[in-house]
Amino acid sequence: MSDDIPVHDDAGSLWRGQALPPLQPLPPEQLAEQAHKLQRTVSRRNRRESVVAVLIAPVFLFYAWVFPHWLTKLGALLCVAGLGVLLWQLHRRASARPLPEALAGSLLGFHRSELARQRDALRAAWLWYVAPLMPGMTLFLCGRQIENGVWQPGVFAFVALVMGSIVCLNRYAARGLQRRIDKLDELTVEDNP
Amino acid sequence: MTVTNAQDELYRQAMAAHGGELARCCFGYERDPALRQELQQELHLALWQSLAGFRGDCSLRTWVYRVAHNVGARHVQQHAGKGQMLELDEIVELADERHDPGHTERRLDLQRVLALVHRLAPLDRELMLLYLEELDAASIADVTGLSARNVATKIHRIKALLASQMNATRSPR
Repeated sequence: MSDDIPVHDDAGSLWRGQALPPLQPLPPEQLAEQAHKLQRTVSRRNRRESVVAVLIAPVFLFYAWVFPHWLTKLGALLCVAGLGVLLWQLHRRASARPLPEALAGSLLGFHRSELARQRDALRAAWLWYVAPLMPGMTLFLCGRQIENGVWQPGVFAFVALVMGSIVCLNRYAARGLQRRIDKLDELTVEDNP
Repeated sequence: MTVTNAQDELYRQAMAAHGGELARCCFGYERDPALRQELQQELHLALWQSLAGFRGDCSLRTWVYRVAHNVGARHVQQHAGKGQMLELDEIVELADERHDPGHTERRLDLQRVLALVHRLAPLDRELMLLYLEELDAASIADVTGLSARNVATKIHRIKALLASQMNATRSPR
């Protein structure tokens, strides 16, 4: 221990004198099995996320088959395609988890990169979450209104409001993460002589 | 020696040299025995997997500490409510509030050190644990990524916090 920051003897010796058995190494076979198990758990979670889209897609396919106007059919098919893009993005972002080696970075560095990853996903939510669904939704609603012969702008306003709210909430959360990143960055600044 | 064998060997070396510190580190991040067992398993796996990428750019001890504290901090974020954790400034104020006669006879025992540790937010908790493990300022900066100035400031606060706890236990009524 260096002289500049002497450890508080009582607290330090109390801490180091705990009667805790040291961790013992596990057999490599057990570690390899655990790694496979973890991978299986991640795959199962990804599959669960896909189930929702798989359940919704047939509904829109059914609409594309049942509704007569070509705009409704096209809109429904674009919605299915949009769901596909959304799923792909979810999968891509879930897969972009840090490598095990990243855990050997400093806590500050590791924590910062995790926050930055979440911030970027939130900032870009309009692009990967909202945008893929908008063309299909718009055409589908237009087609339905033509079929019904009734023009209801309120429906479009409602959808725009929901989508806009999603974008705003995500951007608000991203700003919160950025503030936390800025605070972390301050901790790495060295004094200028 | 194959890569896998080198990884296994490094893992065994790390556990032999730092098994005690790792056990205390897990205790510092998780009080509940069942969850601590889970954390220890996570740590074993993370350390073993990470060592595949060990190239000797830092000491094995620094590597082990970094992995252990990152896994610990991740565990805390997954299992604990954020509202329960405080930063050093906040917890110093909390300690000052306890300077009432009802607390003056408390001994600074392990439970009190643990109670302090478990209330700290991850970065400050890591600092406190590294300080208690007797790491010097340069090593703490190396493990945490904090600037030397910030390490010095935070260590000063930790010392003040521990000293205030000691004074509270020793001051006469």
